[in-house]
Amino acid sequence: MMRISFSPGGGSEPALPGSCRFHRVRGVLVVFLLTGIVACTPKAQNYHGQGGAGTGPMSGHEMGGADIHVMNPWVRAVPPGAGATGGFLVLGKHSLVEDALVRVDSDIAGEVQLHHTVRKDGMMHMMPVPEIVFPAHENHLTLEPGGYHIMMMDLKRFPQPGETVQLTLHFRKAAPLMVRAEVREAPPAQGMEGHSPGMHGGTPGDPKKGAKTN
Amino acid sequence: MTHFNRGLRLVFMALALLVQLAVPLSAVQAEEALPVLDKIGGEFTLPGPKGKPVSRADFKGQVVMLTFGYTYCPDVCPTTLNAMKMLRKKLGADAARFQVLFITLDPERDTPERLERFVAYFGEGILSLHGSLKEIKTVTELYRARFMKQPSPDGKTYFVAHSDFLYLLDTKGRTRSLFHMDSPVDEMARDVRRLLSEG
Repeated sequence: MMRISFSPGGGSEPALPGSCRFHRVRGVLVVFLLTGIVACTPKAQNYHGQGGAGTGPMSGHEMGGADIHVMNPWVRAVPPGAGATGGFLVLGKHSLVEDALVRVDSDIAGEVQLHHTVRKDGMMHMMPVPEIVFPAHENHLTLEPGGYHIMMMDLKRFPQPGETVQLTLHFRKAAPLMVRAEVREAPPAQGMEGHSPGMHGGTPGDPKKGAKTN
Repeated sequence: MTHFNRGLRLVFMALALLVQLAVPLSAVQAEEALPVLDKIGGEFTLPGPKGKPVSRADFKGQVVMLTFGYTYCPDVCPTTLNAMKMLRKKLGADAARFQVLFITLDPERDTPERLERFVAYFGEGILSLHGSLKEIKTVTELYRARFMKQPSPDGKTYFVAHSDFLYLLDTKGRTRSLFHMDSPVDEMARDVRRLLSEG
């Protein structure tokens, strides 16, 4: 799993499926540029601000807020009877306006909270948060396992791979976004990249480093 | 000048040969035995599926990945068990000598049936263990795992904060390697195979 790629104080920017870099491009520049354009287009679902399903894209600027879009929304498949599941996605924006994810509604859960899984005192703690701030200077905000996530409880159905789950994201400034999240067993990039080798967080019995709330 | 070039080529060839020799040498070095973490772990017996007692000693000759969690856990435990599913797949035929043990940290809500259903969802080869809170605490102390109840802000429910370590036990039951929920599955597979090759 990738580590939390967003930190309120700044930090490294997450590598997005839609981002790419060019290093010392020489030679067949035209061909390279053309393929580059294709490679830069996110393959994943990409949602821009909109008022609801079926309506055309609505820019957050019209609402006087940040222009926010959603990439790779997914919900974890859980066994029947499970107490909860998590929703994960990447938020993107181009503007330099601070915003925040303040609430999420879902068609599968009676209760949805915003949570942050943090390693503290040798344990993984799950901390409910009132909002997830999307700082002005950040272009991406990643919700991922082991980090920020959408916690869905009181499940009305137990999402299975191949299904989709409707999520409505409410922001402090931008217009609400309705997305259909893919139900998956694991993150889209798992086993491919984003892993840092070695151990994280010390050894058992080391309260300063080691542990999560759930 | 030509003579110089020929000399240079010879040097490069010699270097290439050295590199070829060095590769298998480093591979041998990487196969050094994993250390025995003798301060972490120990013998235990807990009720398993259908209440049948399960002990660490039952798995002599097999490599075991031991982990703690609970079924109401929405993030860390499914991530961990999913990694176990991927690990078993990666191990292929070697998975026949590999066992995952999942010990609940929430015996209050995790009934044996509920636990069995939960781990079965993540595929074969995962055994769920339960017991009284006291019995479970004995095992967490052996493995230096930490956990605590954490009420939700509205007081309606609770989560269990816990360490997310995975303990890799060799064919004799000794703790040999530690992982986290986000450790690369490839590294886990490599260590499982190293321990299996020890016999």
